[in-house]
Amino acid sequence: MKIGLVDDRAIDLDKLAGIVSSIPEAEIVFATTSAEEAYEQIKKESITLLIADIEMPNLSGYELADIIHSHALNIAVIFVTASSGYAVHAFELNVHDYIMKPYSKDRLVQSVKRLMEKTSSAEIAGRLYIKQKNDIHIILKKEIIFIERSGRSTTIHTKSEAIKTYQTLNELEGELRERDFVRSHRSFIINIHCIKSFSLYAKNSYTVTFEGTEAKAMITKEKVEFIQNNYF
Amino acid sequence: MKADHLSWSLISLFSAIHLGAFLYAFGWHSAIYILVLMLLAGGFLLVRLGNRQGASFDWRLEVLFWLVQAMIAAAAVMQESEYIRLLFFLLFLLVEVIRAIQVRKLSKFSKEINRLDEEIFRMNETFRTVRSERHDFLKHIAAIHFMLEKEEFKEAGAYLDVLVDGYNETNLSIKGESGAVAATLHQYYLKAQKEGMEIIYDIEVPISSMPVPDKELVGLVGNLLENCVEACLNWKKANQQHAFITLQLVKRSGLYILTVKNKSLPIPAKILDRLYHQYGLSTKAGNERGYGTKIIADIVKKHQGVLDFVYKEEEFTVKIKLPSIR
Repeated sequence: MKIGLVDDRAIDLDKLAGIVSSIPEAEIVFATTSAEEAYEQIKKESITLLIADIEMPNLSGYELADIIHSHALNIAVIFVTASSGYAVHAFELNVHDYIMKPYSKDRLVQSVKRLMEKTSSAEIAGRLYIKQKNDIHIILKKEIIFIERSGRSTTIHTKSEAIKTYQTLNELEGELRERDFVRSHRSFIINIHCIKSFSLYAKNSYTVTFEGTEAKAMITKEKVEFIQNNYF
Repeated sequence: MKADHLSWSLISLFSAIHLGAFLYAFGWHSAIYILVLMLLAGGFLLVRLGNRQGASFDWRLEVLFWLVQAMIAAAAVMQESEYIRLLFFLLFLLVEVIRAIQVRKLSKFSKEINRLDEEIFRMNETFRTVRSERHDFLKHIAAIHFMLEKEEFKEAGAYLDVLVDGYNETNLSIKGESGAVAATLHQYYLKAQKEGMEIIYDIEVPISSMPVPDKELVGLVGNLLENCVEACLNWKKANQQHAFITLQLVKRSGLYILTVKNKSLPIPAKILDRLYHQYGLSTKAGNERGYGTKIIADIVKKHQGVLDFVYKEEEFTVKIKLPSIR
């Protein structure tokens, strides 16, 4: 995670840098006492997390967060401040956390780790090559929502279309990583990151609804338990 | 409890004599003390089952039960035939079993009522806080307006800081939540604050959006936070350090993932091994403790969820995953 630090007091900035550098997977892109410099970096979107003091000369941390919020930049914000006066406004800006000085190392580390867990979206890499008569269809794996076998054909439901193929689920299953795709049912393979909710279908199975499509798939109770026990 | 033990000993003794005599009549000679021991053991088990949850009937109803049982016993004595006596004996036992079952039910309901009473109290308190904020709102506006008109900007700023600080408390808990859940969150927030601890609510989707009725959500979140606050308080006292609790809710892949973290003093392995599985396991002092963890486990199980907990480096983490079943 790329992190930027800004605090007008050098001693506080050093403490921040000391703690953040101890977190594995945290990379400090800049650590500055100048809010203007932080602003330049934010504009470049060089970071995914900004840890800022609020009360700084010229440009406050609150204003920096406001810029991030109003431009819908993909940067999370943690405030580390001595004043609690901005807390309500901060939460209006969807600030990840509001830490009061003096704070313990644990408090900041946990907050950053929590954010890391939340944002660790599994980006599915790779493509799937589907033979269709004489054509070869190329589908980005991350676009696949679920795959359904009905009769002798298989339908791949993606975010934009439904593609038919004669390849079997077993063949397709081999090409998709188990971490992201689960054989939820005899006739279905689903992308677990797209699941929205379940509804009871029969005693031992649920229908699955997804983000991004109206189509539904099936999952057995056992597989729901499997996901519960082995993911997150 | 003692009266109960006595009554069960008496019942066991009479039943043993009765049963002994009955068997004797059929020519099966068994030592009466063996029967007494057997029935005492049975009676003891029933007492434990019946009274585990610590409730009993109103005394009038108890007297009525005893009267009916006394009448059955008297009627049995007057009978000549052993078969009819056995019938009366079974009837007597049946009445006792009914009594035990009803006491269990009653105790469950009275617990539920106590919990709901607490819940109403919490909701009223939160409502009172929000209402008083609303009540003072215009006055604060007027005060700031007045200061601004007099160009006392610094004073207005300072006034606003204090005001906003107060609003922060309620704002955290009531965001998007139903009344009952907001009240629970708010009350524990205040409780922790009073003890000099911090609760961080990192809630991505409202807790109230979980597919669990409010009553159970309050039981779940309330018990989780109750345990956290208590454990954290003990840790804080022992370590004299800043303590905080984190409650996080995120939704991933159709699962609600509720994580609660807090500092905790070491938990004895004996308790840790069976935590969340058995009633009455607790490191806390006093009677009636250790129900919270079982209530949490029951609610999670009822909604097809899984519960996992880890104690590592003085930190206790509970993770609950509930499928979003609509």
